[in-house]
Amino acid sequence: MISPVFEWVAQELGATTGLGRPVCRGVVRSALELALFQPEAVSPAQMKMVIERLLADGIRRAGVPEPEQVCARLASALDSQHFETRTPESPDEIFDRLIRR
Amino acid sequence: MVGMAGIAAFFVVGLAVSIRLLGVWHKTRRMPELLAGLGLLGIGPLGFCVLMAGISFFRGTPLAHTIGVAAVGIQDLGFVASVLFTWLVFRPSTRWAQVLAFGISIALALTFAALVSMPPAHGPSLQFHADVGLKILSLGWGALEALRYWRVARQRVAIGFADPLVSASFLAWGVALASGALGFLIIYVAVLSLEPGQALGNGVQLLLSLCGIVTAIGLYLSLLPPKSYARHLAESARQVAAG
Repeated sequence: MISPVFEWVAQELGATTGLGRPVCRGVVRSALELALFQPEAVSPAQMKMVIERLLADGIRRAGVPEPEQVCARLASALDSQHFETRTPESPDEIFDRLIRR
Repeated sequence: MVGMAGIAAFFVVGLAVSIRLLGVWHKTRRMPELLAGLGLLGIGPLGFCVLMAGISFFRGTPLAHTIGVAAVGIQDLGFVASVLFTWLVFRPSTRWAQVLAFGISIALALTFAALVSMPPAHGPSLQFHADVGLKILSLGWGALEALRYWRVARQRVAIGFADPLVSASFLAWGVALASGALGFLIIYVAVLSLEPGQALGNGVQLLLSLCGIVTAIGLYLSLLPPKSYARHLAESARQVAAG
């Protein structure tokens, strides 16, 4: 099952840029793959890292001007987003808490 | 005595780590820390303490069997917590992992019920084979999941998408569980080759001791990492990223 975070970002990207749904999903999926994350298991924190550091290149290649601004808006909106379907924590987040708390 | 060093190391580190994990749970009230804390406490210090008390103070008495059964029960609860931790942390959305975790838990409950209801056996019983097999499966599965995740996590570290200390924790956790599984396998093979009443040989005790030491080091580096170790990992990751 695809993560609700992935679905939300792809949908939001389409709404912001006017790109079609398959293109948006492809752009987000490619960025996730570059960071070795999977659309099924990506957490909001991991998605934010990908948006801030990798997504702009994919958006630019899709022909959207000023992709950095699109990414900044997406990252900011993701911060305030509450997902109805609970996203499981990633193993990184769990072990980070176990080690550092 | 040969086997005591490793067992003692495992006992001390296991106790420290499980107390710390339960302390984290006290603050966060999150399930993974509770399961990891209870799992480690049950498999290690608590189950081991009861077992050793039975062997040391009640050997040859009617109470020895009852205490042995209690130790197995405590350990079984620890293993149930351990498999639920593996499922919840590494494959929370995967159906087969959920079925496997609950399947192992139910099977452990059944083997324990068989142990309670049966008279003491003079040799390895069917219950013994099933119980040890399930324990090796539980630890082996946890080790495989942790090491599989570590393989991806260390690649993410190289491209700056994961924390080097957290990534190394998966490796250490996986090694600790694998060493625990190996320890149970050694006990299993040793028990099968022993005559009734015969004690474990020095070679077997030495192997068990090594497993205890490796497990203790793995647990320590995984969940109580010293600052110097964390600094070393961070510096290594910086060098990899720069080079």
